[in-house]
Amino acid sequence: MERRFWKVLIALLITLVPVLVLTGCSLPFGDDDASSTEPVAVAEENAGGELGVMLDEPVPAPDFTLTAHDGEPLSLDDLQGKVVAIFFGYTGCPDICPMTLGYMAQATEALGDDAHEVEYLLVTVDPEQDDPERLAQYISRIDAPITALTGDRAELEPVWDDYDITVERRDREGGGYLVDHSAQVWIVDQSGDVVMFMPMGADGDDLTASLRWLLDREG
Amino acid sequence: MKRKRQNFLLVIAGIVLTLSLLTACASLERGVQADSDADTSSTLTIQDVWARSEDAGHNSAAYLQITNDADQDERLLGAESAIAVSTEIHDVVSRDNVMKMEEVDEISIPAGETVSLEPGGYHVMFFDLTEDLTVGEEIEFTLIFERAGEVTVTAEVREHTPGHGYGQSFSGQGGA
Repeated sequence: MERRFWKVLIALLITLVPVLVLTGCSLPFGDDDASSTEPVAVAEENAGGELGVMLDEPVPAPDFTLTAHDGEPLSLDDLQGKVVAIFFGYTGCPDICPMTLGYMAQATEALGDDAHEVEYLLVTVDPEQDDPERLAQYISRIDAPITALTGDRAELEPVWDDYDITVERRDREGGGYLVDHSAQVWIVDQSGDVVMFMPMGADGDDLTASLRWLLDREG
Repeated sequence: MKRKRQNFLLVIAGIVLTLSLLTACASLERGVQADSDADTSSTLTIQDVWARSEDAGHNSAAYLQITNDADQDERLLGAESAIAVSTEIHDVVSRDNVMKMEEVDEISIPAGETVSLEPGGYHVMFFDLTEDLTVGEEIEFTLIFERAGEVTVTAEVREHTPGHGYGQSFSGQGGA
């Protein structure tokens, strides 16, 4: 009886090894859990400003309350009446995140007097590392009115889900980790509806044009 | 009883084999070692080198342009620095709309062509800075090429948002 158990185990190992090698050495677990409660149906055509992709129908932006980089709680609902751009990133991200936040600085400058009509939110995808102090340091280098938000993982996970943000923490060989994450910027209009998003590849000019279009539309 | 122990050893051997294969895969991904002999016939022009300002303990990145003026192809194989716990060549790849920064084994620079490392694409990744990178100061790091060997470059430390032209050519950087 016990011998059979060992035989089965050995057979399993023999089959598992080639599988691991064939799949490029990544374990076949931890794939996207397909729990996309996304608030979106992506429109095919681009109705609003440049590369901003309009949703088929505006979707009420799921509200959340998180801790801002100044240590105070902030709810999305507090910002109604303004256009809100929401990006998900983390302070350990040295390339794509500061680049996207740089687009927000670019838009802030380009919008001139209307810049105060727009709020920018950075929601962390790395709650273990990104406390308010670290977030404050990170965004202090960016010349835009960005509020960085953090919380417990249990507080953040529903927010990531609501905004269809995939977050995958990936350990590095040499220690430490990186966090793979969705990088679209959601745009919420003055009445609190998600109306469009900036896809990957959209730059600061695209963001500016989309925000300008929204501000003018609402008059 | 003896049989049982043999089987047990086999299982251990299987586990060791699996682990060593995984490690082998991982080290294969890390790429080839550079030839220490510099090939003087290789002519590289490296310009517009800058690094993103950031505090010690954080990660940062450097960007540059490499022009291969030689008539033979060149390959960038890695990078080293004294300012971070580890220094790697990374690319930003998008898979299923998820952004990943991944280490690349090499970046090829075909004869007569220019390859840019710029925001949103290839970059030199400084993982866990051991010192502050302050705007206006200069830092050094070393690029490791297949033919040219080790080339030390000086980067100006800049702010996160250097203004116009920033991150413009987002596409065209392909995969590794």
